[in-house]
Amino acid sequence: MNETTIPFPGEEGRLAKLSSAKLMMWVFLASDVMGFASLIAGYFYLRILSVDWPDSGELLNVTLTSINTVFLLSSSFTMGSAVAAIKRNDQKGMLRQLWLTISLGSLFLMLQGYEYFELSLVFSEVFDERPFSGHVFASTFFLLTGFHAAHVLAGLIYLGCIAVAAGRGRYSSENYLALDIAGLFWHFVDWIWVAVFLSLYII
Amino acid sequence: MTTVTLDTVQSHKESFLTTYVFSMDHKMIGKQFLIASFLMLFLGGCLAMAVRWQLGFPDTPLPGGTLLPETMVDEDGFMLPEFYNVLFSMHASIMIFFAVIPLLNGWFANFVLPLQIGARDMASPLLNMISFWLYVLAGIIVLSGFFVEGGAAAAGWTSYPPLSALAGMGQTLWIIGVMVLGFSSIMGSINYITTVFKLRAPGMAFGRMPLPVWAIFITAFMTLLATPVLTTAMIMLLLDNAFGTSFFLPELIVSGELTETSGGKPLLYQHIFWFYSHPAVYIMIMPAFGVVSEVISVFSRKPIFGYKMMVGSLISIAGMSFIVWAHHMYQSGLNATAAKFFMFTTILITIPPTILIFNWLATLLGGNIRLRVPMLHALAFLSMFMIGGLSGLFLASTYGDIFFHDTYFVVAHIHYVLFGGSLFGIFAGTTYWFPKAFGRMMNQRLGQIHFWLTLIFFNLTFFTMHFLGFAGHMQRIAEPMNYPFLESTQGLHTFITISALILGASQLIFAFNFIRSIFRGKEAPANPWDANTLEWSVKNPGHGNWGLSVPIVYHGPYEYSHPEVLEDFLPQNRHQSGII
Repeated sequence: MNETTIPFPGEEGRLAKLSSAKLMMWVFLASDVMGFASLIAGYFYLRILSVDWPDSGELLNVTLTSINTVFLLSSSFTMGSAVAAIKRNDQKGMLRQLWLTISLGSLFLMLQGYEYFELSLVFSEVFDERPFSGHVFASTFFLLTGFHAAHVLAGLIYLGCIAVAAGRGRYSSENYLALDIAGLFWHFVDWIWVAVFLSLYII
Repeated sequence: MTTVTLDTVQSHKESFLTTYVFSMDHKMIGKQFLIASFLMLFLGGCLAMAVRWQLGFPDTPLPGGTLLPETMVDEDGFMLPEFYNVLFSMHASIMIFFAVIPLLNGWFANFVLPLQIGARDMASPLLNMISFWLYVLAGIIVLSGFFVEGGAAAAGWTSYPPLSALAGMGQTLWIIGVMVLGFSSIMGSINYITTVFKLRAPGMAFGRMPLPVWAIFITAFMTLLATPVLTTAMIMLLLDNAFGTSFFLPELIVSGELTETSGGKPLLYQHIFWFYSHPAVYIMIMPAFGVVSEVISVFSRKPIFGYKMMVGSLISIAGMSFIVWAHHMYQSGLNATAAKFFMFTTILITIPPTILIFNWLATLLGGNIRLRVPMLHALAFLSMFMIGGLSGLFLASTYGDIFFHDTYFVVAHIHYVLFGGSLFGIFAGTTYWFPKAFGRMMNQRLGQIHFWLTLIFFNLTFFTMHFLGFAGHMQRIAEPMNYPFLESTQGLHTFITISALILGASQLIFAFNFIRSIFRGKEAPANPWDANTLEWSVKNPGHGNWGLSVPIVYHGPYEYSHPEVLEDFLPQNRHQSGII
């Protein structure tokens, strides 16, 4: 038996293709899912036990947020295209898609900011001058969307750093791990929004 | 011994600051956790002594009490009831969040895990360093509560609303501190999971991993999935506490006035909190299971009995720990059917720890037992944890819990599990790995004195509390003698306090032995306990990085007294034909 051929267990089988850094992101996302799950479960607990829960369809701007959802979800596809582009070593394509992703994400945040502004007016009318704390409905709404918006903001800063590095030619078809990992986080932020959106606006 | 040589040299020159303060070496971070948590353990112990003084000698002023500010004591040095609330709240918070969890999941995990799997360091040393400093930051935030108006948090370590949501600045700091600590724990667990998956040495299959590694690995999953849930509870509590929302607050009348809050549910907090905190009680003990398995096997000179069964039990404990949380809430008006479900799962979860106990006993059976100090602590762990488990059964049943809920029976139970279990496990592990961490042996004689005093006075202190529970004595009251039906318990209280003071004083022997041995202890050989696992194959002490070689693992970690081997142990990296 040739001793030097014994492999590292972390370098064989299914784990071989998964780098430590990417695994860490996956593990972190598992943790983050629990954070969202807890908030959403708490939201339903309060809602089901409430005697005067308002009709979300009347108070919230469902149309605007549906359009906003489309923006956020399409940024997931542009992120995927950015990774696909660097796999072909298409630097220009990657940069274009990356900045498109950041623009769509920023658009989402801006529209949400506008929605917050609008809602704070509506809520202060309905919930006697206390738009954020006048009713648990308003508090849970701002908590859940705010928790998600903080993730979007973090993702935008993260992607901004990646985009700057990409602009300096840091990534190539052999070396795009950092981009890949950032993409993983961005996809998570996009798709967890579906759960938040469904819970708050639709159900 | 055959080794693979790698061409990458990872050691580089370090300054004082990067060696001792902002170190990224997992061994140094482990030791930083050890020292910091022991300081917190000392502080938490002092608070407990003050609590006991109030209960044991209510007619005598607190020694040195007159030196304390008037928010804590009156002019004669007697403790104020508000300060008593601060004391027991901060005692429990410090012990749980800042001593036991970081000792098990900071000190053991950081120091032992990479060494035992033959890794050079954690998957991300940087994240590891940040994790430690966030822990320090969280500690400073929580302790700074003592210096703000109104004093530190006083709503118990569980911090139930409405009380905690209406409390002052100290409580706000507590909430922020616990949140920061949560980030530290999550970072640590991400690191441990990734390290175990990716960085094991060649030949270190999952079936050859030592049990402390398994225990830390499985605990990391619990920390990872449970801690964010606590963080969300803390976010909501913080908003309620400081920003006037009412997630947990219904309409209340506080000092005669109706509050502005409405629609919130205090029970939601209890559900979310215990969804974290029940897995967390296993986070507080599971690494100790691993440590004790290792110590019992090494000092019995026998393979651990039922290795696969041990791992299976640990995994099933971790899985089941997520579906038992409401057994803390039987008296909260929980639906009776739900209570039955949680009673069933709670009794079910006692099975895997029982398997562990039987396996430890079977390991001891017929072993060539060496009663060194780590082994003494491991054996104490075994018996004390068993008592704690048995008293837990009374609380698991909804019928028993009606009588015992919120009495000293619960206090006795948690101390048998957390002190008798976790802390004896911590002593076992600390004395076991001390030679590797500091390159010197701890004094055996002092260790034995400390062990026996601790064991005896631990039992005198906490076993007696069961009787207070039987008498219906509620926990968390500053002046029990105000209740006529509790007047007869004063004698027991005084007895407990005297035992507790001696118990506390005995810990100073350990502190003295620990500090003295770091500087003056007998020089330790590389493998003082004749153990098999990989950490004993590297030279002491653990500063800086490994040498150039990565070990190869040929067989499992518990090949003690193998008939085909001349010595009674067989290091994992020593090749021996015929042994898998």
